[in-house]
Amino acid sequence: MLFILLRQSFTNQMKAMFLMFLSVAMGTAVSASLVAISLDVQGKVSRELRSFGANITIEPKVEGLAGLAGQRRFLSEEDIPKAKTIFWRHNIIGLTPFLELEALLEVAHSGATSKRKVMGAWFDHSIMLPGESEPFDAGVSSVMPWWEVSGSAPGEGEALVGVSLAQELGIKSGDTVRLMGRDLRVSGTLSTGGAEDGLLVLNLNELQSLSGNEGALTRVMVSALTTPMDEFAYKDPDTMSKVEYEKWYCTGYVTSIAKQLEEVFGGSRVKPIWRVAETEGRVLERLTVLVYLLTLAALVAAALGMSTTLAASVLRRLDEIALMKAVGADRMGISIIFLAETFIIGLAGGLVGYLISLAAAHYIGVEVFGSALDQKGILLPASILSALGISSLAAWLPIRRALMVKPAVVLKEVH
Amino acid sequence: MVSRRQWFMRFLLRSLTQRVGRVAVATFSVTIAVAIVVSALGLSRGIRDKLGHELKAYGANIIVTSPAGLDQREAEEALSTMPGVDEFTFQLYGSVMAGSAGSAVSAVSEVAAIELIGMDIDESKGWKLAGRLPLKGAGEALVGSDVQAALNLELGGALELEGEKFSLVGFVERGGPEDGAVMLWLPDAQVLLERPGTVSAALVRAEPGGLEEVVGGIRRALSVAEVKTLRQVARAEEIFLGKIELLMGLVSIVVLLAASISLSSTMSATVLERLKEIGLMKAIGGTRRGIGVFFVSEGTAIGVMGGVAGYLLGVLAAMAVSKGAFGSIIIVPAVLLPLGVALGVVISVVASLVPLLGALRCKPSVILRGE
Repeated sequence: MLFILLRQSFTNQMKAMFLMFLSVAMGTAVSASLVAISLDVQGKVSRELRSFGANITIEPKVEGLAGLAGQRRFLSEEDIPKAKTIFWRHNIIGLTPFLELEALLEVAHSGATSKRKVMGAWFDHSIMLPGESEPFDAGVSSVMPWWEVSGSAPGEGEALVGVSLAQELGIKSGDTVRLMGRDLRVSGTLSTGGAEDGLLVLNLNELQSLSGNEGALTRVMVSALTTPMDEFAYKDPDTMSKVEYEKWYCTGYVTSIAKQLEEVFGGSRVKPIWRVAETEGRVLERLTVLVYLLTLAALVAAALGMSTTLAASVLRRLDEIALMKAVGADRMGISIIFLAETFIIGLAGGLVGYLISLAAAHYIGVEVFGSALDQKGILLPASILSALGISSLAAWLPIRRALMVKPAVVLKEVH
Repeated sequence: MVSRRQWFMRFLLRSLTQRVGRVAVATFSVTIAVAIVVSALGLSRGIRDKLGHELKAYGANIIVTSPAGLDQREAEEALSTMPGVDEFTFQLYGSVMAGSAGSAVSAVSEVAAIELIGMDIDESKGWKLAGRLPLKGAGEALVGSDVQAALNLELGGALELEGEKFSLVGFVERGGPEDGAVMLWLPDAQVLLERPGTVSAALVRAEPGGLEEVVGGIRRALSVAEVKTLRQVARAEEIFLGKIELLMGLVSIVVLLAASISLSSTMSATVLERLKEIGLMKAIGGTRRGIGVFFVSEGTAIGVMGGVAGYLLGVLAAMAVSKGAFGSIIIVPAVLLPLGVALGVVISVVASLVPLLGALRCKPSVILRGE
């Protein structure tokens, strides 16, 4: 009996049912896609923020005035793969080593000589990590994507000239410069908008062997995904209790990652680049809150929109309810018919809405961040359940009111 | 005699006032749909401004230097009148002989050249500070963490720079060149380095959009200076802001589409409800045109009411969201008011016309019988 009534109700009122279904599906679609975005926005945006450059530097420890006075101490190149063995190794998305020295530079065609800063860096350099099958990109571009090389990266017997230095000394591509007794061909110019514009840049390993500092480094720049610093993170680790220290150590704060890097790099001092780390944390936090609040607003709007459509549809069938009552249906029976109807609509609308949200969130993820959003499976039951809940509630309130009135009154009013 | 027009108005007024429930439901759904669309669009328009403000903390995006030094007053005049410049600060670099002038026990046994930076030390962000920031002209110094470690300095101690004593009030760790330097207020540094009225660099923060024009302007105004854009900040900022704007724009489009579809189904549902009324109108001699005009006017009235209410609600929602996320309200452009009203009117009129056209084609008797 119930089944026949339901089937008739759907076939007789195709249009009305379709409209209710459409409203539920759209409400669910917009809510579910916004929830999907808000669940993954932190991960995606923090990756985008890494384009602002390294947030951790590793330098040799300075001891005494000698360190400041330029008596160099070095980091060891052998320690680099160890950076990917720390607790937060997966958060380290880029790192690149440098060796900086001062040396006498002679320009071949003019004969000018002057003492200049020379830097060794890795270009297009991958390292193999223990226990990993994929090589890890440790080139400059993994951390400093804004470095612009016109010409080609320096290979064996070649050097790159910073644009300011090139201008000052009148060097261009193809010229020859002499450094530490070796002739180097200028393979191109480097423009970074920073201090590197005044440097001569060589391949790291070439500079190491030229200067007799095999395997030595003066700086490693690290780009790591971090958890925004909160009040707890600013506590001095030395004054923490054992439990607190463990919590701090196992949270991906920029300070705890720095601490872990310091443990694996011999003779190092590892510091967060505070300007980058703090700004990043704040931007991330604010954007996340923004998306959460917008999602909340959309959820409320969707719930209200769905319930008005459903309430309108039920209200319009008041006379039907009265008629049912008049021919002897009990309140229970009528409620079941109407609730079963909305149940089917809620189920179908929730499912279709979820599917639409999958497509919408995927499209937005690819379009904005270049990679699909991490869609949580929990959203399927969540969208169907909330669609069911809202539509039942929205239908239940007018039905209850309808059930309370006397059939004669309603029927007289309508006709 | 009552004219045709008066009849029409009376009819419309009755329809709107006598069945308050139905009109309320329709207006309410227009309000909700317009509100969410207006707040999403308003937020996506204002996000660049708000986030740009946050990104300022990444620091200057233009740096003006001169090997011989810049004249501070000249540079200040040029920069403060330059359009597109948000803010700027001056720094003076030098090298001084330093020794720790502490107690007799840690008597100065070593003297070394240390980098000195003269700057406006009023930034509270971007570094980890132990102690406090020095006061201007009080003979106080801020010391980078590397210098602190190298000289084994302690808070409350003193440092001798070029024979002059400075008390140590704070240590900073920044992760940059400042860590290996001693920082003084710019005027103090100018006195100590004997370079009054001179600065080594101006760090300029310009609006990311018009960076090239600002660079050109500074080049013309300060001919001796070398002007560079800090590409790291400038480019990353432009790309980042673009992506976030795109995200908000796409979210707005999704919201707009879903709200329009959902709203038109609500409006259609309320018109379906009135098919019998249409049948009755036709039966007593209403022309198709007359009935059509009647429904369009009704839809317009609902659209306008809901659109205005929705705009106001949307503005409030956008303000609340912005207050929650950025701590300051956002100004929703007024152009969204006509846009919101238009959205409400178009959807409610179209949504009521579609089922209406179907109904107008039928015979009144069929509709009235309820088939």
